[in-house]
Amino acid sequence: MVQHNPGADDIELMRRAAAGEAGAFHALVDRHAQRLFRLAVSLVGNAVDAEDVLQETFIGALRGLRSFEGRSSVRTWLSRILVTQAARWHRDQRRSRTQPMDESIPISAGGADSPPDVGMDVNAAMQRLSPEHRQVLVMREFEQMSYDEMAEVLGIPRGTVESRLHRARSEMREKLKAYLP
Amino acid sequence: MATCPFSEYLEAFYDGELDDSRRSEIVSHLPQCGSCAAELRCLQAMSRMLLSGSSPKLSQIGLYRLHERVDQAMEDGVLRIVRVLSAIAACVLVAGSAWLMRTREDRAVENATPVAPPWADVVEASDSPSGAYSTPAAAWYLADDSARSDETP
Repeated sequence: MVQHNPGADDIELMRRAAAGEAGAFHALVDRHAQRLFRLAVSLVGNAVDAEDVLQETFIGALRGLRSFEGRSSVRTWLSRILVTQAARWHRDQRRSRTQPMDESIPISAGGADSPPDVGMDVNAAMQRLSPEHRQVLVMREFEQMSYDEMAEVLGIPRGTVESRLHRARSEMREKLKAYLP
Repeated sequence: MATCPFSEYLEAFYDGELDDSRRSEIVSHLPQCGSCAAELRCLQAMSRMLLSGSSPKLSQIGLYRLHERVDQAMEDGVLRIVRVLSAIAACVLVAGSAWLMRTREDRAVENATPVAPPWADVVEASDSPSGAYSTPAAAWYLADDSARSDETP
């Protein structure tokens, strides 16, 4: 039985794209766009900016095609570029805003007047996490990345990943305690 | 209340990051420890909650815009290469033209008829046995010379 190996397909597409085949790069875009968009929305907090970050991610990938050495998977490599672009976006936001948007998002859980909306509150709680904590939580919970993969994407030691993830979960638990057992 | 010594491994256990022996320990420990079991249930509930939240999807138009942007970046890359190649070609052309002009000038100088120096006639005249001096300058020079030799005591 032939095993389908998406990682190997990615490497082949990368090789062809690096050789100048435009269609191969577009295939990579189709393959990873949805997953990376979800990650981008989690990291920047809204779909409009996430789309910009996603575009910059693929442009960065296009420019760095020849620098890809295949030591990590294409998925990890693209995620690393996305995290870098999202961090750049956050830096730009900090420069242009006096009050971060995150702080203005209220969390309704526990409010007596309006019925709580779990989805909105989860998103609001996520946006109130620090970018470092949000990154690891999204990568683990949405992308199912291993600790080692996260460490590679973020360029930090595995122990730091574990401690950040623990703190992120503790914060989320505190913010969403009304919904949790 | 004392915390269970296994609690620090629960998250790694939940994330599937423990080695086999530690995982077996946790598995056998869980039925005996209420706080660890509750902690694990809380982690599961939070994951469910995060995943049940609205999962954003890139729209078709968004995907189209993404492909367009990639195409544009590819064209920009090709244009940049073309621009660099054009600049190199222009430099080679200018340098080549300058070199050609210089070479042509050098050849023109080499091929030009040599102009005889003023003393060439003098030498010819003095060498000629007839003693005929073809130019006034030569005559003057030789006359002056002989006059000087006469005056010598």
